[in-house]
Amino acid sequence: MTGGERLALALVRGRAADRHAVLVRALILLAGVVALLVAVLRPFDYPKMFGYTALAVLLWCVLQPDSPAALLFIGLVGIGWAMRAPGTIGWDVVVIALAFLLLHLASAFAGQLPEYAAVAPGAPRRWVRPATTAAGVAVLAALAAELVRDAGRPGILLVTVAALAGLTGLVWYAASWGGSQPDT
Amino acid sequence: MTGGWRATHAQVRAVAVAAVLLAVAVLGRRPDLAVLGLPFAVLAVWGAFTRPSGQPAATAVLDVTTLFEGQATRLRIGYDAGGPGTDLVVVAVPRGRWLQFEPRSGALAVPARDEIELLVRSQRWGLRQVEPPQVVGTSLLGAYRTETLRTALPAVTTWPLREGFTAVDAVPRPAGLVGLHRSRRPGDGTEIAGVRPFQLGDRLRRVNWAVTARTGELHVTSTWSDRDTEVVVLLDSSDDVGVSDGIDGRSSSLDIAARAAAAIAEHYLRHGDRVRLVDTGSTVRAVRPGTGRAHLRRILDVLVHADPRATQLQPAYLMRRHRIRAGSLVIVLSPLLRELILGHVVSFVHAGCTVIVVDTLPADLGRAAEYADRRAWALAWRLRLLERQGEIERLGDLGVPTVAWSGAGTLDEVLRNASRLSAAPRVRT
Repeated sequence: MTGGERLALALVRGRAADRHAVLVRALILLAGVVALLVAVLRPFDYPKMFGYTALAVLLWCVLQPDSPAALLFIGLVGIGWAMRAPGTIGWDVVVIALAFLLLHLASAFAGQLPEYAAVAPGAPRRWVRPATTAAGVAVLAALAAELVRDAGRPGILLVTVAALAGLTGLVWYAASWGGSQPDT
Repeated sequence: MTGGWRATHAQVRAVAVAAVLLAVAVLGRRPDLAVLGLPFAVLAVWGAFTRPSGQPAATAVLDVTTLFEGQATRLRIGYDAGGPGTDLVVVAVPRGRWLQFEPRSGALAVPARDEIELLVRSQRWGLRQVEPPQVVGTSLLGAYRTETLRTALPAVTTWPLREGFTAVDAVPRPAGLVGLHRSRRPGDGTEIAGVRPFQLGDRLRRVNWAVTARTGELHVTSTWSDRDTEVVVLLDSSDDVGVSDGIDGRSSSLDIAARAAAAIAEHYLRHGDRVRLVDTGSTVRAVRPGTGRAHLRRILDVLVHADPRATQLQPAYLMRRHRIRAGSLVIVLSPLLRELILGHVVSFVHAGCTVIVVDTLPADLGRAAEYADRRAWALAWRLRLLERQGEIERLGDLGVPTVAWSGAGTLDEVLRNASRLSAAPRVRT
């Protein structure tokens, strides 16, 4: 298949796309742009090469959600952040965490159905609880890390992470006990 | 099953991002990376915990496998998850040329349930194969996925009968005694001919008591006898000229011919006549003369197999094989583009049949030709149409009228003329 044919096919598929698929892909794009902007616009010198590459990967992610593109995007933005960010907790960390989360969930949802598929109402209803829990964990973790930041005790981060891992275990238990499994 | 529940890119991503970010957070004393990684850890654990364990299976069934053009049926896809954990079921049916689905894409994502329904509408007559649907189940958060085996479906037989067809109650040479056509001879029937004095042999139930009481002489009500005839529908399937858009758009010559054949057969069978179907492209699928609703079904079942790629029968072979009786009414449905069909018509005329040719060449074909090579195509087509007009005139010289198909009433005038001719006194020379 030639490049022109591929482009024509992509355009045809784009025109045939269901509005739900378009909406979910728009969410992927929005979350990716927010994460990238927050990383790039911070005062520290974010590596530009990572930014440009992540932008290209984001487009790949929108076009093919069921691919390693989203992992690559999160990896690129995350590595750039880890290399230059001061390591303090602020609103920017929470926003990036939530943007990563949204990008991941939207990619996961879009990746399980063809773009032309009609989505029945209520299809993503069961995703609300785990998504809310994960977002809450991000905010709680940021608050907890900020609270213990000036404790100045060695190994305090390890303790924080262990505590949050315990919280994750609790969520796991709640998921099994609270009937989060769908009725089939 | 085609391979059990497998982790998706989403689950791999959640696990990998959580593991790397948390490890770097701990080793590098970076609380911000822990904030980034923890939500992924939650999702990875949640996804793994709700992983389904059962082996799902899917079945696909069509409510009805025989439709008329434009009709729809339900495709029911049964999904047995085999256990808890399935969150979403995605069904995708490959779209066929003449099948329309509701939803239009033929793909639907629904929360896991036992039965999923799609509407399938057949847009053109013929055998329409519904491709086996692809059924994919995914677990919560899109973490795991499995595809069930595709179930083969039977073809949807789409009959070409759509529009109602009527013609005048006139057949040139009624023969039998079971049809509904009024004959010119008195006898048992339903059409009243008049009241006349009783004659020896009249049935008592025919006595008209009112007239008898008034006149004092025994009178009976006489009727015209009801007659039937053998109608031969000859389908010329050697060409399929023109563009076919199905029932909702333009019709090709074979579309017109098949629909006309079905409508004519339905009309004459409704009137008690014996109808025979001969397809010039089929050696084995001709339908012998018969009557009734079951016979109409036989005819429709044969019509759906009309194929312009089939080998065409020679006139002599066709006459020998089908033994068409003299006096039959033969209706030839053809675009009249091949000499072979002219040979068939001449054979029928020589066999003593009344032949009517229904021209099935689409009226908009000339306009479609303009879109091709403007000079050569249009000129060649015009020449061919002139030749064809000459052939139609030669058929007229043989006493074979040609009419364009226009639905109900198409055959009225030619049937009246044929009846008048057959009733006229004959002079042997």
